[in-house]
Amino acid sequence: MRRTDRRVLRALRTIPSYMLLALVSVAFIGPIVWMVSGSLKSRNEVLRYPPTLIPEEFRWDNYAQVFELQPFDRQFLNSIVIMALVCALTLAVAIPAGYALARVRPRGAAAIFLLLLSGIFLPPESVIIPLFRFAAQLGWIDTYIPLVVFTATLFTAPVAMFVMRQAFVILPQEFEEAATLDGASRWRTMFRIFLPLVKPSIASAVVFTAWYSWNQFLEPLVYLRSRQMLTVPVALTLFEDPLAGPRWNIQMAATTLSVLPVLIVFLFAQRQIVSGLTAGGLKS
Amino acid sequence: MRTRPRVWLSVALSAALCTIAAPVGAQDEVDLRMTIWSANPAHVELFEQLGAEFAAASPTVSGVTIESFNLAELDTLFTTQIAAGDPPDVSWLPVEASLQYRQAGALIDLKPVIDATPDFDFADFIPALLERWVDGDAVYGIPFSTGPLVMYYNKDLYAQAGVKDPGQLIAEGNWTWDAFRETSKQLHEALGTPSYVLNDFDFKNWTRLLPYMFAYGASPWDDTATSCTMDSPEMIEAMQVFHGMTFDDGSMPLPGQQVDFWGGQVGATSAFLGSSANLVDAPFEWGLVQTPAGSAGDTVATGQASIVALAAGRHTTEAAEFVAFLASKDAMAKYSAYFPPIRESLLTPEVLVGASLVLTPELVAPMIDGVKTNGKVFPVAADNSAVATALNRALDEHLYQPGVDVAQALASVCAEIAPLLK
Amino acid sequence: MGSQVVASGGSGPRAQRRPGRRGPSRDAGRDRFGYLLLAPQTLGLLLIGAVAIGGMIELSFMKVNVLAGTRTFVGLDNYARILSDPDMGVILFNTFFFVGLLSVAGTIVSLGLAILLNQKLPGINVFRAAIFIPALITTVAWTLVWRFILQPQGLMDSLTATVDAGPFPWLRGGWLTLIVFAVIQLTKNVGINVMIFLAALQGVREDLIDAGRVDGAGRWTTFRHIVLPQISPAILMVFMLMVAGSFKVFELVLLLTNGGPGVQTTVLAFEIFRQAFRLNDLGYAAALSVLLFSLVLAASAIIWLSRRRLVFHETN
Repeated sequence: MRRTDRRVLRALRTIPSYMLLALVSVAFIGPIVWMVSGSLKSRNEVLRYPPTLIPEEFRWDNYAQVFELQPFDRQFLNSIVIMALVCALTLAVAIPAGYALARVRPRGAAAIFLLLLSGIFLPPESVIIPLFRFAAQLGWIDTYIPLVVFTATLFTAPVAMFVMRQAFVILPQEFEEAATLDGASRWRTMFRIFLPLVKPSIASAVVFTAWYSWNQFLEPLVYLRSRQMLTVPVALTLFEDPLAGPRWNIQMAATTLSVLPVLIVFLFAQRQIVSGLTAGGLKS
Repeated sequence: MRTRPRVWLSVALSAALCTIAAPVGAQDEVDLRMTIWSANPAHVELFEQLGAEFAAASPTVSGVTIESFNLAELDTLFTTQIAAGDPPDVSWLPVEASLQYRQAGALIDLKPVIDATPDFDFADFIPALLERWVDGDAVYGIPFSTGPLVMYYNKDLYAQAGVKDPGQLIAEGNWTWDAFRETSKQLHEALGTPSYVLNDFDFKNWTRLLPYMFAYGASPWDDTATSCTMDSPEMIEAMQVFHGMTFDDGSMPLPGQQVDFWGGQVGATSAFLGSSANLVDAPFEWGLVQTPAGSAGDTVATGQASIVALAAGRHTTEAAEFVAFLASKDAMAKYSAYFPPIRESLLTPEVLVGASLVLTPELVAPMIDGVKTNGKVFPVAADNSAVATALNRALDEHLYQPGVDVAQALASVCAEIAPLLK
Repeated sequence: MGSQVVASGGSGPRAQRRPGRRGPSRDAGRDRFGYLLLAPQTLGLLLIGAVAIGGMIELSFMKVNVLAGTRTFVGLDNYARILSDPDMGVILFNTFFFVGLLSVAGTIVSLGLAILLNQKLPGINVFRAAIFIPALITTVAWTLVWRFILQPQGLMDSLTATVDAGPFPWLRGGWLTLIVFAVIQLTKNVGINVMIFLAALQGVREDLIDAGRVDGAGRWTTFRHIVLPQISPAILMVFMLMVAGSFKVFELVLLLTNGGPGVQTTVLAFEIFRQAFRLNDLGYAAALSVLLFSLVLAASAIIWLSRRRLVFHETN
């Protein structure tokens, strides 16, 4: 009897949570609904104010136009490839660095930490000119390379390093001591014992890095040139008539197209993070 | 110290990434780069085709690459590319930048190539509309798109409110700002919403006020662009109409207020001729007229963009030749359906209507007459980006406020921009 | 009471970490291992950072005429101009106001949302996604939506009118507009910080929470003494990232007010962008960038060095 009481009580307790969540989500999702509805309107209807929620006629053709006006599939792929490369390079350098700063702590760790972090304090628009000239000298214009290398080293790896450091720092010392007693080598300790424990933080480092790369605008604008190489944010600005201005309906169709796959991956990754955690064995 | 680490870095990083490296360009044949602010496949293909034609005929040029970007990004791209020594050879350039680029020596004089091109027929270009690109004998750009600011109006809204629409005012021979202000006020009172909006203005873009200014014979600076005339009596008269319509009559939107003519909520708008594309599928009857006249008669405020060859480019000779090729009558005829030309032989209603889905020769003909006889290209200052920024800023601070004294506000505006006009 | 014992138990091991630190010979291998792990990132940053920062500082001593292709060495002129720029007072005030507001509010709101989203409720993933979606949309699209909401006689005005307030000049007045910017920026990117907090919350050791519960600790006590100490490294991090990030926000300003009226809504990052890419004054923009870089660096260093007061976990 007591148990059922508690269950009912618990269920009741979730109601305010749901209400709060729903309220917050409406504020966040409202604009998205607006975007999707705009993507299905005619060029003229999308300009109407106040906006109509349901298009008077569904223009699925807008989605076809996205691909007629730009090689959007290729541009989407560019964004994905660049994002994946940035993530890979970022994790490859940031996980060891974060681990070293949190658990190994060689002499001068504090100074190295601040040095590594310094990249994120640079305003991108003020370093773009020297970096662009550098890239031009190396023949990197219209390639993915500057977008991967510069972005990872200056902006995403510092943040990912920070994320990883903060994740490693809270792990209890006993693990390390136990490993040392076992005679596990330093590398094994890092890979086998600590790495599995910080999976959620690796995931958030990936999410941050992917997001940063995905949203970059100034850098791809400057480094990339041919239509086949452009990324999504730059391509979005090209759905525009040189004399009449933005074609909002097509832009919104393209934005919707670009958001959906990422969203699906995100939902999927969420589940992975949660299950990865329970498998990680923190409770033991 | 410079080169060593860079070379080392280049090798290391390229290797590390297993490279997706750029192909190294051929050395003896010239590859030209041209930038345009349209990504419309039809436009891009057209210029690519013209590029191929030019390359086929040229002994040195092997090809022309067309690169698209958004006009809003022009400053960012050009600043970066020129500063890093990697600018395009040929580009579209808005008239706002003309004087600034000319005076910095950033543009190549095209006159020698033009003279050397048989059948170019330079006299075919309407001289008054070439003004901003010509300095003595030198020609620094060929206008390829010269669009007037015209007025579109929503016939249904006027009819619904029982107010005389611009077409009717013209028929009465009463097409002035005063008359239009009065009908706009009536329309606003009948409908409750703003009745006239300056397209793409948003209280950030002073050039959209030019229909007011020109109608009263006002300009923000004198002909030599050296002294501020924002506080002239003509300007005060013009801005009083604008300010009154916005803050007293309520017939124009307030700063920040979002209204859109194309969607059908507003009685009239002034916009470029090319904006007519927004009226495809419009659920209302609309009309197209010139902007009203003021005390100085009617003048058609006209925006413009040119094709230029950049002096910082690597192949200036070929670049100039390519511009001359693009400005030839045959080439221009191919794109004048999209971009209003100032070659008199091409400036006909039929040509202008060309690719449009909504315009007709009858609608366009009076606009063309207006441009030919009264067309006046946007005023431009030497340090135009600084002046325009300061002007927009000063207007926002002093004039775009309720209850201000217009004369005083404009005096304050002049105080701020005068130092920037040399 | 019991919970405090548990909490100190949580951070306890760190207090007696690395007993062998005293013997330098034993540490040599450890140091080498550490440097090896740090090497790739450090070398990469040193090389590319040198190009970036070097180029920025070099430009800051120049008067550049981009179009004419000329560069003249002008020494400290650009820096002197910062000091004599009459607008700089307003711009710096705006910058600090905006950064302070956005970083504090951003950290608190994201933590609150993360706690809300950390519950094991059916369908919680949908809500997580909802918070995250705006981060995937371009700033231009997001700003456009807000422009409709904030316009005169728009949604915000009708909302405030229901309580007989307003209308407010949302985009026309100094501090109010900066608050509006903060809200727009916050809603767009809060999802990222929520993710970081969620990861941290999921790393909280449940045995400690259970132990606290057994000891009879209430929800707040559990949070304050068990959860908070364990996620405090993440809080510190998010706060620092927010500070660094908010110094650099300029797109919103560009799209919504262009810094006006006058310079009322201009922040330093926007001024840099304007000087560099609208006015082609690369030298002055570079000097402003050096100023901005130093400001962010200093702010972050101060936060980092005072972390021992803020972060419960870093006791050594």
